[in-house]
Amino acid sequence: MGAFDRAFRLAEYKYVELGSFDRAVYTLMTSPHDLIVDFENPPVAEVGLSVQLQGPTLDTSRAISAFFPAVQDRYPNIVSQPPVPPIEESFEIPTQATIAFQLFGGPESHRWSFVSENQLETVQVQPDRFSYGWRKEETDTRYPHYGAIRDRFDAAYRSYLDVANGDVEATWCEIYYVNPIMQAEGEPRPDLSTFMKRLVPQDLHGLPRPFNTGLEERFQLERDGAPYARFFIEVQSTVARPRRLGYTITLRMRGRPQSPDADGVLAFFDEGRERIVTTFRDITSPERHAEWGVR
Amino acid sequence: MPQQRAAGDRGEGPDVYRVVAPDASPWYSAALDRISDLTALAVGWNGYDAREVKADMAIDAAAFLAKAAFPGIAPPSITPLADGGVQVEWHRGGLDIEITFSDDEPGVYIEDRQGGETELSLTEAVSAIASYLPRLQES
Repeated sequence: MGAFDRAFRLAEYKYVELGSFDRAVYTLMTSPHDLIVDFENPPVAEVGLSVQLQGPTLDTSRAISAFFPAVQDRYPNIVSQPPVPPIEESFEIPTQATIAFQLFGGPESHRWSFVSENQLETVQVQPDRFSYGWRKEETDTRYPHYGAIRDRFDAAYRSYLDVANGDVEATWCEIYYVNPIMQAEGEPRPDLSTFMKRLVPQDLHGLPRPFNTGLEERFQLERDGAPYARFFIEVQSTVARPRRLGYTITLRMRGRPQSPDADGVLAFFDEGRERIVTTFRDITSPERHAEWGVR
Repeated sequence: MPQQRAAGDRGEGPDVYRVVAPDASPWYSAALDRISDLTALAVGWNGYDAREVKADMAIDAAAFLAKAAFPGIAPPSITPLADGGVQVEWHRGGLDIEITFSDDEPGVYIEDRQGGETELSLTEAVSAIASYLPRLQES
């Protein structure tokens, strides 16, 4: 067994049974600062941590007047953007043709983005949402790993809670990783099944190699016998500059935190990170792992 | 016009439409919730053979109210129609006003106890409400 396999075995999920089959609680097998899979050049290009809030949150003006000074040294640039819809999941069987509306109006309809000097990190605040994101775009910047991203979120989020100075509660959380897997310039997009182990390669005698392929899977996660989160695997065909073809694999977990405080939020993200990294390892091929410099 | 949110933001559940209406009455948000609830009605919701409320009818009603929810105007009643449409109604100030979003019989019907009956097209609905605004104010 190589170091690669040993590392993966150490990261395998473990469930603790609490008296009955459906009372399974997820238990972390790695510290947030330990690596689950160690790639020299991981393909991850974006990681986002987001919290849906309720209670005495900061309105648009206090986000600027009270919170921004607390994070200004690290995130000195301000960008105003339209607000994003709430994070939410319904675990019931959806009824047919249901639509909903989200009303925006007046001066509260802002999402402030506070961006770091190097443009890699962003803290976003709107009255019902707090988010931290790391994104390297198409640069050669090295991935700082989850532990550092978690620390940045933690520092900024606790600053926010300090300024809000009230019973702000997290109602929903979301963590996602975006992994572009691009070919060299001019090379055709490979068949997705050549590196996505969820698909079985198949010869199509009447067709050439597919030009575009997509994949979407959703998994429902349960805590104490009740659904609390969904896990999404999304693969889309992608074009990058100057003319590189490939795919983007986005892995996302969205659900209710274990508790509405900052510790509950971090615990949700830690679990989501483990599930995402382990799933990414599981669904991609060993050949790609070797290309990314698995250690 | 309400705008549908980005596909990347979509979770399991309803399609969410963004509505920007900064000058709408305070009840407008509740009206949107009411319209949204109507779209969850199942076939036969009236005990007979009523159809589900159609998404485009619900969106049309929401878009109309975004323009007609003038400051101070009383909240309307919002009801489903058996043909899959939505009806917005005011009954006050000696007026019965029905704005019908429907494939079968779309339009505006006004019964003014001071001046008789009037039927208009939906394109005239907002201006009709504006003209009767003093009689539709919240008391």
